[in-house]
Amino acid sequence: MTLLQISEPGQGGPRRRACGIDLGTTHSLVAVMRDGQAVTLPNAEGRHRLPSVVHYGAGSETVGWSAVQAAADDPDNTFFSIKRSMGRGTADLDDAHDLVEDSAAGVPRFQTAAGPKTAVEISADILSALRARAEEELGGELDGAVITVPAYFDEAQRQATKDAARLAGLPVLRLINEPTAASIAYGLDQQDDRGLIAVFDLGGGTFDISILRLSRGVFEVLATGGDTELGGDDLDRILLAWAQKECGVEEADRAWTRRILQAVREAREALSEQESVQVDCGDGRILTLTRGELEQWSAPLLERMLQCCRRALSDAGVEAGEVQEVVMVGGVTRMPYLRREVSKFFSREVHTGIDPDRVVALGAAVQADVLVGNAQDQDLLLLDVIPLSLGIEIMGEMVERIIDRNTTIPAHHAQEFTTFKDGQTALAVHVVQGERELVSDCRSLARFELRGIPPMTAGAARIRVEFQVDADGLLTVEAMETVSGVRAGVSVKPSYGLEELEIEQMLRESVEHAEEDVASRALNEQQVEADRVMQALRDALAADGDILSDDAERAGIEAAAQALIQLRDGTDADAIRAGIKALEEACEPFVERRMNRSIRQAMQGHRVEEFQEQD
Amino acid sequence: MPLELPQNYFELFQLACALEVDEQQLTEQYRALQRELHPDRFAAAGPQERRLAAQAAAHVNQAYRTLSDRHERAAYLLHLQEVEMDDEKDTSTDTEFLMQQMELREGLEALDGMPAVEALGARLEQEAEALWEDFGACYAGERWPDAREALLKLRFYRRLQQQLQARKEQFATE
Repeated sequence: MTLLQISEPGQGGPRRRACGIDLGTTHSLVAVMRDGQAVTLPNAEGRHRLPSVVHYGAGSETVGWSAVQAAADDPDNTFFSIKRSMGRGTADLDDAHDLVEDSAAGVPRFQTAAGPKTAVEISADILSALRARAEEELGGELDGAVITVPAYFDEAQRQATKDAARLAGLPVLRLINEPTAASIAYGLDQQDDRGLIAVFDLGGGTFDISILRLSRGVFEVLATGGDTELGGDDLDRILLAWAQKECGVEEADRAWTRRILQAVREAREALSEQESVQVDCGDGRILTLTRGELEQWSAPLLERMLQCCRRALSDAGVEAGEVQEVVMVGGVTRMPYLRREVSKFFSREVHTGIDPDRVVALGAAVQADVLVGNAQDQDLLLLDVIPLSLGIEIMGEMVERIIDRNTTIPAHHAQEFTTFKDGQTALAVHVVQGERELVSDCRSLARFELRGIPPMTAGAARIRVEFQVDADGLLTVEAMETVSGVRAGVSVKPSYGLEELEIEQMLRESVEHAEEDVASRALNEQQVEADRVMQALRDALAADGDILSDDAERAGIEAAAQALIQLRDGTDADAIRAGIKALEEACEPFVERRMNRSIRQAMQGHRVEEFQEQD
Repeated sequence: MPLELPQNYFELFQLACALEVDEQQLTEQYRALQRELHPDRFAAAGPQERRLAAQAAAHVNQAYRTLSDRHERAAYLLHLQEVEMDDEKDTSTDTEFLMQQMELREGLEALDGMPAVEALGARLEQEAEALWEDFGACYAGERWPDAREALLKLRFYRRLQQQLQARKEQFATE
């Protein structure tokens, strides 16, 4: 059958279309590989940075520079720094916008001229604009994307980012941490004995510090730290308060605030090049700001950053002096003051060779190219960590840690708990994230109930709670009672996340797809998935077809694959879904054997060629 | 798990089952395993393979974390002999030792500067090393309860050393 007679893996096939996206608080970028080099993509006017700003008019939306323009006249319908609201509840938000009622899971919705919008939907609009830019460059639909997030992003913030990507129709290969992406872009692994590096990443709204050990293509994150509410925006707010006081403005309205924030941000950026700058506050008020004043006001923020650095170093078990390279990331690190102080802290010159605004997107593009399968010869592997400890609530509102911060992912851990009352048949499990001992000081991630525990005396039940963190840093939790062998059903409900149904609803409602038939969209999704599964199977058979146990197994797989190929060209989405499942079942023993071959290879340190004789 | 991944951590890293390990071998084998098994290697593969890879990589990570730390490694050695320790509940019952620990803790709180920090650090290091030797001897002699007692005592030292490190950072930033 022609189906299974195909070329060597990674050869001859067309290059797959992949991009890296830096979804930033103030600006976002998209990058792709061009002639072996990562490049960021500009818009029609040649601007690479897309302001992370969305304006909603009645029945229309604009993203980027035009949204920034619209902000002055219509601040209530214009959204800046939406990244700060990702994965957050109503209580965490400032009052820059009016809120509609919470959704079922407590996700805040903002009032806009185009109807209520969540932070996830607003971020999805930014991602859609970047996706369009990448697809235009690559000449077709994307096969995969890598999206970066701050290393210090918690579970809810990561999940919200992934949901936004899904709404934007982006096939996400992986979420990777911004500092890790930056270190890839610097290619520091290409040189021998680079050893320890520190990445100091100060963005518009977030601060990250990561300590990595590099060794021949392996990027091993030892520790990460940071603050998701500390960035250039905070400096701008200090400057705003100063301008407000100097101008004698008692009650600033949103339009004034927006305008002055823009003016002080430009002033702050200009101070990286000059000693003093004029700030035009309108109505003939011109203020003068000096670099000295800016540095004085930056000092407390810098101290908070260095505190994070000390803790990350201590978590990594290394001293500042052992760090061999320091990489600066984020536009705010252009400030000479920051460069000087960070350089002093680590006692070495800092790397600033790559544009600090673009370096994260560039690294993401390199990783996307590897993950999508275009660069199989490239020896690049990221071993990242979770930034915050995961635990569950126990008696007395205390937290029992299950997985410690800075544990390498993917991670798996199980812990046993018991009942505390006679005849107890249900147990509420509350999953939290954070370093503090009291539940109220940690972030609530999810709550669920384990039901159907057979009545027993207190302390007799053995409830096994399993935590699994995947390579994107996303968590799934399962609980079961092991004495009775009863596996009670468990569903995890994210505290500030969107429900699956809500996402589907949004997909249906999204402006972009309003004209499109829901059924044809579902069909298209399944066809894409079928193609993906077939491609993966072809690659797997080309690489390891020799370990099919016998002709019957091969015939079974071929029959299921043939059936799927026919279904794929039909019009029944559910039938395609069933066909994919049938093919997966037929492949299961082969897939396991294939994985075991990888394990043997790794255990013996041999390459494939040496193996084939023995098999 | 249908995967043929050695469940014994030492076997996984091709190391002898002992308290002291060849750290270079540990790290190199860790990287070799992750190069083959990490889910990133299967990003373009089907969902089954991605799930198996995540399982395998999580097991390798857990094993590496355990063997990288001397305390964890010692507890794992005892676990292989079916001697379990519970961090929360178990503690040493040696009253003389506990008295000495209280005295050390008071000494830690009374520290007045870097020289005192360094002196206490040296003392903790020396006493902990003696206990490690004790653990090694008990383990070699298969005296499991004594080995367990030595490890429980070592946990006190680990905590003291962590607190001392925190004090040291305090003095350094003042």
